[in-house]
Amino acid sequence: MVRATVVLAVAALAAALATPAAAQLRAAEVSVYPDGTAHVWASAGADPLRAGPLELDLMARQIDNFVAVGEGGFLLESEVAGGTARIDAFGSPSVEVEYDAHDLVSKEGRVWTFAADAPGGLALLLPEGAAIVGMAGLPEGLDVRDGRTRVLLPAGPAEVSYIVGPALPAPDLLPYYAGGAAAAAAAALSVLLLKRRSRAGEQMRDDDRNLIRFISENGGSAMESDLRKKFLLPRTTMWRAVKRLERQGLVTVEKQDSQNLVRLRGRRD
Amino acid sequence: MKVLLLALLLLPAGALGQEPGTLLRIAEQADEQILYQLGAYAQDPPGIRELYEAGHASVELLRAEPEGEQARAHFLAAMGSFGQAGRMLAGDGAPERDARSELDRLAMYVERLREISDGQEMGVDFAQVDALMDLAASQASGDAAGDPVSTLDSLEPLVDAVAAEIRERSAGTEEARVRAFIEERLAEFEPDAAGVPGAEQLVGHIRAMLSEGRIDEAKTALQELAELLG
Repeated sequence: MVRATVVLAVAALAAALATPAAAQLRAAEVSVYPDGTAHVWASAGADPLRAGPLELDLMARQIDNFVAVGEGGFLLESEVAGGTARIDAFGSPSVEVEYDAHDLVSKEGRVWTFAADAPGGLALLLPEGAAIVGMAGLPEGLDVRDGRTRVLLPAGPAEVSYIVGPALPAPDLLPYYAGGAAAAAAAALSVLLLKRRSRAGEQMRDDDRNLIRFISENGGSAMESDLRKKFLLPRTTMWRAVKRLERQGLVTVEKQDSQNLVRLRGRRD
Repeated sequence: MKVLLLALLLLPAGALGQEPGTLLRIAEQADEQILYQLGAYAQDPPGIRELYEAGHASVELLRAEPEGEQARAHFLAAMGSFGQAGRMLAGDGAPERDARSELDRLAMYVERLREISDGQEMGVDFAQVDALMDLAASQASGDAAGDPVSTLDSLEPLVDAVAAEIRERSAGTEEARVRAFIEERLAEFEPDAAGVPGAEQLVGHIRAMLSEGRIDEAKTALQELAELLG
């Protein structure tokens, strides 16, 4: 009898408990790529004893490569539909999700615009070389990570517009974010850059300057693979450095036997 | 890194943000960028100069009063004008596929899958995926012949297959993980269940459900038990 009562009670509760619970988002980070697609990472709290699915509003509707993991790194069963993920988080006090979003950033003219309803707190990492030209709300903070501008946005609708090269190179504005005297100096530098933008050599980072010096001492050109060996840099890092110099008009890149030959602009063998 | 980010985002609003002058610095940067972009035109597109001037005037006001409510209003006005002006700049074409961006994102996804596989000792084979990722990276940087976009296209089904395998293997171990979790919680709850009407019986039933493989029912019953015990 007792058993029957308990079983009935469990059965009656099962339907109610299976109702999805809305996830409490703790933090989110969006990393935007040069092609306008964004990689989203978000963390949410979960009740490990809840039998029903956890419902998490995603920031985008066009997504792929969705993964949800629980504490301990185990994969959680999930279903994504219509901008919502239903995750079976039983046994885990937290959930981490990651996905690529194709509809968070749009492009109009030369301007890219990130627009989303930011959950709790959102860190937005713009592509390398991006310069903010518009914002529809107030940021909570701003800094630079690995040459990329990171904007901290409060909860609510967020809109950030930016331009990606050719533009005033963002890395050169790094001290600009530092505040105080450095900001004033950088502001003055920026005005100078506007007036003398053709003299790109004055804006270079130290590592880029070393690259230019090496290429110059090497007769004005060098294979990209040799630069990697010389500076012990990973392939992607060197590729980006060369791209940066190319954008600044300091070098040209030519194909030679399926390899990249980096040549100082204006130098010909 | 994610833990640091979480800590950062859980800080009270403004704890690290909006240090004096942040708004001004962003607005000044936008001002300079738009001015720089306008420099490329022999003749400004209609209306854009007016928008720039309006934005610039707001920056001047912001410069004079870089903090407080008024500063926020000047900032929003400036960024609104610059944003509008920016959207009127001639475009540089529709966004194209960018192999490097796609590769970077795919690399992150693959690394996440690898972490899951390694963490659960699934032994999933990533060799084929890794080889093609390396090839695509070499092609994107010009170190190897071929089109990285084509390589990426052939990578996608391979990565999907790896992801499917991980999901399948994960589903296979899911029951054991849930069962272990329920048993641990039962061991915790059992001492408290003795004095609560219905709780002790529920513990017994959950054990029975586990032994009969009725895992979903056991999950629901455990939740009820937790609620009973408050």
